[in-house]
Amino acid sequence: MTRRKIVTVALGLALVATTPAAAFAQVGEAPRRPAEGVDVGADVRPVRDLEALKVRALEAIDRRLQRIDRLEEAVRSSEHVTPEHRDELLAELDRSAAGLRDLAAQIDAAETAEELRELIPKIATDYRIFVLVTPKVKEVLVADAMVDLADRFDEAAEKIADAIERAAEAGYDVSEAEAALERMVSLIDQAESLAEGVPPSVLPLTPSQWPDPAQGVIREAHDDLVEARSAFRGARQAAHDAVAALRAAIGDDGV
Amino acid sequence: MRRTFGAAFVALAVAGCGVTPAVTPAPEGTVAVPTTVGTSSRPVTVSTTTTAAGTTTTTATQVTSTTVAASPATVPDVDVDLSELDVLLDEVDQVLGSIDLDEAEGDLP
Repeated sequence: MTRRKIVTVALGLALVATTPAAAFAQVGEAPRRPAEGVDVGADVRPVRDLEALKVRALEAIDRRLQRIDRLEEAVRSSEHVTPEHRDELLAELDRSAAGLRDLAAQIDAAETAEELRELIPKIATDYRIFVLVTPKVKEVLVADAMVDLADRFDEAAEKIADAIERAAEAGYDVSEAEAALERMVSLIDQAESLAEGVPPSVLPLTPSQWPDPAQGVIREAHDDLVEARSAFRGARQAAHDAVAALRAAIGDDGV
Repeated sequence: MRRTFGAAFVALAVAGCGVTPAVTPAPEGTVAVPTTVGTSSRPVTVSTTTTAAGTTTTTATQVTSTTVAASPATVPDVDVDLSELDVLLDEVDQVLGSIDLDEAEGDLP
């Protein structure tokens, strides 16, 4: 191959390959390897022809459709998600899947590099399945589970309060148990408040809002859930403390 | 007859406090007091007075619980099962732990 031919081939490949690469530089690193037999630089992806490009694009779409399937299954099998959140999440997943299938058909039918350069970036920019939809779905599921968990904690707190009241009526010193119960209730309220705020903040987020403000909102919601989990753990410990204090107060009379 | 009235009054006086005496009132003693979780003994002071005209009046006064030492028969059930909370916390942990905020869309050609 003459030097002129090599340059021509390299320019042709660069034209096809560098545009998608630039488009996705913002969302993460893609595997890179040099094109066979042609030195086109480290930033150019290996593209032999349009068909190969299509295959890789369709594989990327398929990975997202598989993720959507798993998310749908998680939503449908959740015992804690509210009916409203379930419907909203499933509707969004359905829309994303339908849109990606339509995009796959357009990519498959594309006949020019120009068309592919326009269509392929949409796999990420129009759906944000990995960076936005996935954490959004999981955060809503966790938040709803936590609200449900708060109800269970409340029930346990009521049982402990009842036991404390009966012990107090019987003349036992329940001050330590009462303090632990008060701590438990406070932590439950804190956790529930944090969890309740997550769905209304993340559900309205759309791919067009990525990265700003969506990325920040998703991270803040995650931080809130981590903090809520910590509060629940504290509440669980406080519950154990209250029961232990009650048993200690009753002493040998206890069961 | 008057003693019968007096005994009935005790019953009414105690019942008015939301309790039902399970034993015949004595001048001093306790009555069984049903609670939401069973029966515990709550002390009641009973006094009887007779007027010069021969009228007998019996009154029952409940002793505050703080003045009474508990006995094993009054120990409340403190067996609160917290295991369900642990299971649900683990469930939350799993989903929360599976969230990867560093995932990217960089698999495109």
